[in-house]
Amino acid sequence: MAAKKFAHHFVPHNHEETGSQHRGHALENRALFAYLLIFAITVSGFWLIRVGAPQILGSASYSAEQIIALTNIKRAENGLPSLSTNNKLISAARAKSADMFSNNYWAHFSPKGTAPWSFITASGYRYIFAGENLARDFNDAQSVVNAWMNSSSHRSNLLDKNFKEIGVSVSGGKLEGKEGVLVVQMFGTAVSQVPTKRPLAEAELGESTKEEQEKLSVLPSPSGITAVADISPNQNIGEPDNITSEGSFTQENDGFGGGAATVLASRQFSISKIVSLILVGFVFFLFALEVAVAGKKRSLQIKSSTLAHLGILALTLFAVWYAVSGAVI
Amino acid sequence: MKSEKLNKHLDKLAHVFLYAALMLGVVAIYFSRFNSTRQFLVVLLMIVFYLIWGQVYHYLKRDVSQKLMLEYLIIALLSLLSAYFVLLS
Repeated sequence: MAAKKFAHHFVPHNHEETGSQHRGHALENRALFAYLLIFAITVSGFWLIRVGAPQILGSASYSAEQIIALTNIKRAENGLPSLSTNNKLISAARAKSADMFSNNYWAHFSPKGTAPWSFITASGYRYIFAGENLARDFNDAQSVVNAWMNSSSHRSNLLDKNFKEIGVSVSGGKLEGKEGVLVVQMFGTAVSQVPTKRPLAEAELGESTKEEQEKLSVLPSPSGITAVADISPNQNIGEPDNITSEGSFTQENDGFGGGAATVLASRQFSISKIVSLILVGFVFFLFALEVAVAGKKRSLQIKSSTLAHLGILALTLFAVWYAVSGAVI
Repeated sequence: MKSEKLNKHLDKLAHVFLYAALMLGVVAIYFSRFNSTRQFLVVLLMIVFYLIWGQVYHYLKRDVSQKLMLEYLIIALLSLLSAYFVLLS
């Protein structure tokens, strides 16, 4: 009897006196409202912790070195030579990262119109080929490289046989009002690494200005970006762009093993994912149980609203399960 | 008898329509990988669709009640909060 009463909390049943069908008590509106309230309180709690003491949520760490190593593994898997780390490309990646933090943007071109190549030339790197991949808010290096490999344009940068060198920056800070991590990956092939028969800029661009050359030389792609030489081997490199390092970013790391960059509050994503999966999963399970029990017992009917609830909860579970912490452009 | 048959047809058709739309949502979420804002917008759109679907479906079935609509609303809010928590916060 006690077991039956307990089961009534979770499975549909006919009322003993009236004979009408009832949901499991755990699926009544009062109970559903209680789950919603618990969830709302949890979300608010996390928000307060993130604002007040993000260290409580723990931190994950990864370095530019790991990104470079994983990039070279992917290249090796595709029969391509490894990229060697270049100090100037690292400086360019760091400068780009600092610029994004200080000017609060997340794009290949800054709101002022500064192209990625400006950072490369400003670092003193004279390139014949150059490329840039950006990522933000990932929890680990593997996820960053996997995300790039899953995007055709980023993948083509990663696996471009024209590139010989690489520089990566991993930095944390506040961007667009949110604490996060930026990863800037710069690829390049220096002019000195390619036997040059004639100055490319002269051959293709004539006497156009450097700015015009940059516009002409960029091969746009939906995400991830590549350029072909905008300077001749003998051309002077212009003054560095107005790059500031006074942004709100807090850590920076280069490809030479300066320790792992700490990603504050990055564990929050994993925690919120688990909490959501448990709570929404629990409600989904109860509705699924109702369908299973009502489907078996002739005296019970599957409520039409239950199937709709199962549908939207399944979609939510899919979105939560499939969510990745970061983004790439 | 005729009305019961009509109800069964309506049930089938309405649920096929709902699940087809939700499948589109799943595909949209898949294609919005690495863009959590877009994924959230897809979930939001699906939740709005689910609420409208619930209203229309139960209106046609003539079993709309405040209690039932509250049930839809709570489930919708639970889904919305969950998607917001993971995808946007």
